Amino acid sequence: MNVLTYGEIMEGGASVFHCVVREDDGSLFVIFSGVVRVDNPARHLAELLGELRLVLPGRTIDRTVIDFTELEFCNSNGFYIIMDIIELVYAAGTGPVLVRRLEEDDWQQETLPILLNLDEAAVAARTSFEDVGEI
Amino acid sequence: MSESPPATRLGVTVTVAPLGDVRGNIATLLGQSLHDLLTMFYPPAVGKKANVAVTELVQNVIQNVLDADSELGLDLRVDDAVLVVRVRNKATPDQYEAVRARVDALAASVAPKHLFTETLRKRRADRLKGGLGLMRLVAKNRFRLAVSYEQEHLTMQAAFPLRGIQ
Repeated sequence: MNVLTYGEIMEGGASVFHCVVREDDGSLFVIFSGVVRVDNPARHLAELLGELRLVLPGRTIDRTVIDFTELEFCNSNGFYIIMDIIELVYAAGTGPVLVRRLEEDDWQQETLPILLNLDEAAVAARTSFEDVGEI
Repeated sequence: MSESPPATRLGVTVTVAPLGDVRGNIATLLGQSLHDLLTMFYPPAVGKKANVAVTELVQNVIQNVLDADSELGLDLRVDDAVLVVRVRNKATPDQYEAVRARVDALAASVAPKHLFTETLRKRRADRLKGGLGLMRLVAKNRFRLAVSYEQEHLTMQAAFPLRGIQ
């Protein structure tokens, strides 16, 4: 399992949000965890986006897993950065994308499909969901 | 047949003044603190609803502070019927009218989710900050919004019915 890139948001000296992008034998894993509450998350994650633009193109990706089950909170300022990351991840391959999300989290059930751009037929055709109960 | 005991009634009022003294992300701090408090008595979903409402409404105030000497008032009430979050701050009549217009537009919208989706895409294209908070509360979290204005102060209320959630 290779870690391709990693981004985090620091708040008050503590790391409150991580996004880790890993690759393992043709599978790409994108894991979001923590909370996005800062006023300008794009500033914190600009480096991550830049690295994704460098490391993803040309890579052989058979399947992708995007995991939101450890993302506890995302404010509306965080929506754009999530959309930016997702867009790059979808553009990096043509294979199926499994989205893991919390079964009882309203924003993951209702807002996430919008951020994933599921209205787009090509995106919807590649996407499936795994609803996970919160522990 | 046994009846379940009535849910805990909880009320919290926080005031902060002068707003110019605020250092750091007070919206986050209040949202998370009240989330933690509510989940002692209510299911996690109720704590999350409170967190979203408090964070978005307080964030709106912080982003539009008119007078650094003025006060922020936050009031949260919850019982087995409803969760109500009220945020009060000093505002101009123009600011009130702008907020009222947005609340009225949301209330009048037959498809608030579609409105949210379109607005999100438009604002993302222009990289505009803000403008989604109230819409998010209505379209994605099913809060009912109300706004009032009295003696130079705007009060924004978000209410979420809890019957059936527990």
